[in-house]
Amino acid sequence: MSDELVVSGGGSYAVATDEMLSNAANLLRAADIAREIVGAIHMVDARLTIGQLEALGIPSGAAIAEQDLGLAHRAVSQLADRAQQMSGLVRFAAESYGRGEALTESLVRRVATDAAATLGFLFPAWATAVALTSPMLPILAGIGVAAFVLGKTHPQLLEQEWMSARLNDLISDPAFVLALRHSVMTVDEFSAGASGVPPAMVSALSGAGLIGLATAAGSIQQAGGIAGLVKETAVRLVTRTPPVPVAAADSIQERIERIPQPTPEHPEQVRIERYETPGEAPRFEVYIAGTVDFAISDTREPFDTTSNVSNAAGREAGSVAAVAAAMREAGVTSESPVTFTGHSQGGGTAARLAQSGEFNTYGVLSVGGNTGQIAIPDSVPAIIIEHTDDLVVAAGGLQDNRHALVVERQAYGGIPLPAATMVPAHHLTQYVETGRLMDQSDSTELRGAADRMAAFGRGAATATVTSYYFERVSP
Amino acid sequence: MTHPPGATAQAALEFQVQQLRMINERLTYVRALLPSASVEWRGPAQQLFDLGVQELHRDLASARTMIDAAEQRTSTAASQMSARVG
Repeated sequence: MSDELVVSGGGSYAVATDEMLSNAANLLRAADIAREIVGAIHMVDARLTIGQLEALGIPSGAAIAEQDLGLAHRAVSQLADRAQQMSGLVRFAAESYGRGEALTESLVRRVATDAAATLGFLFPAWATAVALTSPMLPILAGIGVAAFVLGKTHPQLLEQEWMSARLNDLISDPAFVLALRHSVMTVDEFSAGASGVPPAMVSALSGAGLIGLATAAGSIQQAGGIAGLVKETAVRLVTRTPPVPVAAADSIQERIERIPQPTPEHPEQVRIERYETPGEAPRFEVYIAGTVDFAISDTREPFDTTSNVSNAAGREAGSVAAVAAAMREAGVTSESPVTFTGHSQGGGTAARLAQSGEFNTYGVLSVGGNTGQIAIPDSVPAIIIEHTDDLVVAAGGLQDNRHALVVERQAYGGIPLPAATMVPAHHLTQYVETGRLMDQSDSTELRGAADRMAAFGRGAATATVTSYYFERVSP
Repeated sequence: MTHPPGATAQAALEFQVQQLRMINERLTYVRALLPSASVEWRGPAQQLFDLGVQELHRDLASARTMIDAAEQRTSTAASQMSARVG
């Protein structure tokens, strides 16, 4: 299992491993302390001069000690300067690498967009197939494949060990996941080209953000709606647990552990913690579950594939409606300070709620969410945790939330995948482990982001938690 | 009340020993903050980084040797003064 975290974003171009960022932070701290030591040596040295030593009749060994102090002073000064320079160089390297990577990604996206549009334009014979399948690609390749394997709707596939192992190897390969992220980004350009729009025009539309993942997902929903599939419905509150006292989460790991994992006995998909301090407006932390049912129709579950498609399309998903309704039930107003933490679909739902502007969002933590193409406002501090071998995050396309602190990890780097678990890197337990590694990090970026989130719930006089279970209302 | 010069010198030396011990402890803390050889870097960057790390550890070792020596000499001088003062 890989313990290496790669950290990027946070308003900077820097891309670096957690170890590099920790080194940079520690070197700077070492430089600061070394400078304090230089001051202390200077003070000791100045207290007894060689002249004073002679006047007081102190043995000559003490005079030699004064010379030692002079040399120590020089060595520690040099250490301080060198440590500061090295810290700066590590950060410079991370920034340069990040800029290079951003440029490469931008070029790849441009080339892929143009190629997709040109291919579609040059081979209109493919248009029928494209029209029928291409808007489905993001879903088939991302949400669809995830639904297929995670939903276990085809147990016979899992019974055939060799096949499930090979499929798992493929869909958990970081190269495949990255390729999928890129392909998800170009599906719409290919469709537009195939439908006769000149490639240059497609590029311009794509560059202007007028076509993309959201329009592809919208097409699916439109096409599916005709067949009675992926169709949105209203939701209703079924049950809610009585409020019980709770202590605010103090670490990223603890926060991830609090994300609901609905079961038949405890089907609640939304957990809301309410913090009250006399003289202040109540604050709320909202925890959102991932996809519960991968069905595309005939389900009462709002955390389903239909909501995944709606989230991608930017329409109000059943899951978004459920969380918003739970928040109103909990007493959240548009002014109430609120944070969102979600896993998988819960991450996308959190991003959509932050994007809506309906709430006074103080922070978003998304783990394994398909958030790449959901624009979280720059004013909202966000932490996005993604495993590079998690297929589900690829369904959200490339991560464009540059202001968010993005933490990546290959959950199964260098070790075999577990035999009986499909897409194991997507499982919440793996993200809990990533949270633990983040909490242990010395990186200034990670510590700062974790502290900001932890500070939200601190100091409350009373804190309670309530969980909510919603279902779809049949049309 | 004034101390005889020998007693003053002894107190000054003992205080210096204490200060040097504290400085040594701070240097131990700095050592814990310095990176070791990197597994994250590759190629020439790794060589440069590792070279820089070696230099840092060399500076630190040198400083510690000097502080240790100063502490030892000061401590010896304090003992000699103590013997003189009686």
